Amino acid sequence: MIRPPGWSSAMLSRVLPHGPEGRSILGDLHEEFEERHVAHPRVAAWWYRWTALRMAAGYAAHNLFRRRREPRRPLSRGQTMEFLFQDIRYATRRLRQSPSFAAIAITIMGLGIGANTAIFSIVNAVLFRPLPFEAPSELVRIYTNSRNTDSPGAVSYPDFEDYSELPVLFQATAATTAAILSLNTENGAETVWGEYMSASFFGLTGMRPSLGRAFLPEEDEPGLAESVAMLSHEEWRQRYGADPGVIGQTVRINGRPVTIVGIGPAEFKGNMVGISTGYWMPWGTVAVVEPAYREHLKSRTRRGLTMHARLHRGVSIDRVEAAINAVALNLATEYPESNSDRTVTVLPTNDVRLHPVIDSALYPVAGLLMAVVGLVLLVACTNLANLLLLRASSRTREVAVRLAMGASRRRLISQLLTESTLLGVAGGAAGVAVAYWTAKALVSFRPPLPFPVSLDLGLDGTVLIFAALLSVATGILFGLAPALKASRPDLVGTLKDESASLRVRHRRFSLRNSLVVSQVAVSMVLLIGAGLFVRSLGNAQNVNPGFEDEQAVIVSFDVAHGGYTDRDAGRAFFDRYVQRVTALPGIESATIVSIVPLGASMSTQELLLEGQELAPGENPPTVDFNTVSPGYFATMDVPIVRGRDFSPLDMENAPSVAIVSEAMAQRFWGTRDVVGQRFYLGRNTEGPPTEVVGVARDTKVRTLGEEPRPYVYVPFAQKYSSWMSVVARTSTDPAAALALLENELRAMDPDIPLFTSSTMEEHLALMLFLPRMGAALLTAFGVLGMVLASIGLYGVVAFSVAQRTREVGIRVALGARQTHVTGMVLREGMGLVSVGLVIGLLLASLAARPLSGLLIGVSPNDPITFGGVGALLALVAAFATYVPARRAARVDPMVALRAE
Amino acid sequence: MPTTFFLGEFEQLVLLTLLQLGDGGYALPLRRELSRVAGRGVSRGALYRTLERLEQKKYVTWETEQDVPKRGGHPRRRFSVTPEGISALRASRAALMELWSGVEEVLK
Repeated sequence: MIRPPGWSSAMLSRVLPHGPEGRSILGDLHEEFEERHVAHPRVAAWWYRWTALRMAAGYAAHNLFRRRREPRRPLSRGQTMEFLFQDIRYATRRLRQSPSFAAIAITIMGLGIGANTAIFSIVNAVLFRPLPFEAPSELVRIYTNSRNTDSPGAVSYPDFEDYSELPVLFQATAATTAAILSLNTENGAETVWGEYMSASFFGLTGMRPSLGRAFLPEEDEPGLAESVAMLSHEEWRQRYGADPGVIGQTVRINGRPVTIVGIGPAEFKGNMVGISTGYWMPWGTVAVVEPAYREHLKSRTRRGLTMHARLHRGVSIDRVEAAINAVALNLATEYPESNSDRTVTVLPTNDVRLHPVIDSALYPVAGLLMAVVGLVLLVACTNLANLLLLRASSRTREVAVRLAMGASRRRLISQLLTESTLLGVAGGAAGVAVAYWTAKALVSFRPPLPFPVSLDLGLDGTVLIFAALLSVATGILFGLAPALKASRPDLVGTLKDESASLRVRHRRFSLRNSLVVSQVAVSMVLLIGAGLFVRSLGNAQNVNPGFEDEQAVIVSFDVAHGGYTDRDAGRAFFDRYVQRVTALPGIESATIVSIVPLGASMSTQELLLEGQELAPGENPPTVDFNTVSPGYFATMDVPIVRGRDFSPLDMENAPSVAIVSEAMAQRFWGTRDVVGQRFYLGRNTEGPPTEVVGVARDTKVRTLGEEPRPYVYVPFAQKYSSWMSVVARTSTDPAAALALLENELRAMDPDIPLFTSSTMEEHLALMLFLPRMGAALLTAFGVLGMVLASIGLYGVVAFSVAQRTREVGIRVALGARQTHVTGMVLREGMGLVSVGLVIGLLLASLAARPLSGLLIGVSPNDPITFGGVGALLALVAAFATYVPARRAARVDPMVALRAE
Repeated sequence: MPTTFFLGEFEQLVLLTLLQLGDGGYALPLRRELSRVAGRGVSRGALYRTLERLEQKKYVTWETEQDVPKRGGHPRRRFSVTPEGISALRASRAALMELWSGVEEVLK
């Protein structure tokens, strides 16, 4: 047969109508070509090219015009629906015919979509679910900015009152703050969480109590009304068994009687998203329950309140911010020490989840989580696309016949897409079930955080819509490429029943190969991420925090809860407690400290060196500081490298002293002798300065990965707080020692509830919580991705081998040894894998760079991790390739040559 | 009963030629015959598009023939005029004849 020039006929066939019409036109041209070829072969070829070109141009233009002039007659709605139902029925039938394929596909999709939905439900609960307030667009939160960094912070009560003096702008204002309370139960005192709030709060938010009433305005004034509280719905259910008779009952909070007047709405768990509040009290009751707090409420420097406001309709946030900043400016002039240089930020309540500063860290973490789990879904989709391709190639005969009989390609594609979308939807349903169980498991999991976490991880409308959209999208995504490819088979060859292996052209960049390469690459990225986090975790666990990390226990409590509101009484209580604890068997020493390092809290203060003058507008540096009793350094095994420890002589009325860390000595005084240097804590330089009496070795303060930080220790005697921790060094089992300390406190005063009690190891576990979670998640996802990629690789190699059965049979019949054939298949398979590994390496090194802040002791491009993961994947891939390769080699040539 | 459009000139020629060709209504002889009658080359594209249009109007139908030699394995279509096509031709002819009558004198 004489062939006309290939590319011109290929080009022409692209613009001709599909099906027999276009091909008969090609045939007509071919016939003419053959006629001319007889006489003048060369001329015929050029004639063909020229004519094909002209016809192609004509048809291309015609196609363009036709599409413009006559928009393709859209199918009537009835027809579309009919086609859709047909397609669905057909797809269901096809899937039922291959149950194992359907089961595998649905399982893979279920895992992928389930993981994504579960993560999304967490992200939704923390970041998106709106608070159950009425007309939330009118609500704002108002923050006083810190001096140095201008980041939003809490307001003081006097400032709150002054800011509220803008009735033109505000319908109502309220102030709230979190509070840790002691509830007297029959089992003794128990720590519960609550919120102090203005009586106007519930009215401001438009929430109605589900039972009883909210607060009355007079309940904000101390002494005007009796002490009242509202219960949260969850607390009411859990502790009081949802008994409506609880209204009017009296409970003892911090030792004081308080009457329950109402139950909050079921959807409201408190103002801090994720943290479960039990009790709400107005300011009048606060004065009774925590009398020391009354002083806080009068001070302008004590900033601990969140201010809420409801704006009048039509008032813009900018206007409010400008007005309040004008007030702030006046306050700065009137009260320069507390209010100078302080501006105000106003934010819509909808935009705030926990706190503006914390929120900015939440979003990237959420994004990272969704990205990681999305990658896993991507690998799953790629696998499925491959599976579908394999399946489609077994249907080429059927597709070819249908196309030859005039079925439109569009219809075929839509049928194939329906099948994959159906799989996606079924997978989505399975995924929702997976997500539901995962959410349940997560809710029962208690992270080692010092507050009660309560996230409503239920699958609400948003999450379900997300799952539905994701299912359909993935169904279309992984079905599109196979559908497009399957609807374009080589019709003639297929209908003529030619052997598949002769038809297949080995294109290096085939769709199937690219899918496998991408799977390997993605798995590489996930596994490298996992490897980095695991190593980082290992390092974190080995980091020396600089203090005793094993043989110590911690308890913390607030003596004011037991009624010790007087400083001397409180101090005496602590001293007595420490004495008694030290006498306990197995306890070597005990000390009082306000902040145990590497915990959840921190405290900073501004610092001015003696004689240092501030330039106008300049802000003094801030340092972390801690309040400790004498013996702290011995108990915590922190050496004092110069000078001395605190002693009982450093009493309240004695000169103020401090011990500083090495880093602080280095930073502020360089090589000079530090002992004897003086400074001021805070801006007030009027009183006597504080004198440095010792230098302590550096310890980790905030995070395990930090550089040594300037740190100041002041004696407990000189800086009293009713709420302190007691750390005890033990020579026995820490858990047993902890029980002893708890008992001792109860024996001394059963009305003082323990706020926390943990061994030092448990305390440090908090620091390790995030790295541990990160490592666990990434490892799980990485392994999942790797398994999926291996399955995909196996499938591709097996299929390619099956396709080439004939070729292999010929080779073996011609004398090729088994090992040769195995080697050949292995080489091709590993060729794909190596491309994937290289791409994965490049992507991983790019993706890992922004993680350097989270890693401890590991560089983001750690060669050990990269190399190790690469080797692991290569090994697994080699195995996945080897099995079908060996099977290929054992093909009986006679069988291979005969079979089709 | 399909609405009878008036046939274009080329469309008429194609239908008439197909009727002339009878069982041999293939694209190649069709084009050759049309070129001969028209006295000039007939564009392949125009021919195919006209055939497509006639098919849409249901005046022409075609069948595929496979395994025809010297066509590189491509099928061949055999076109034939449908009864509707014949009606259309008749209507066209009647209209023309009516218009023609009485004008013959001028054309002499």
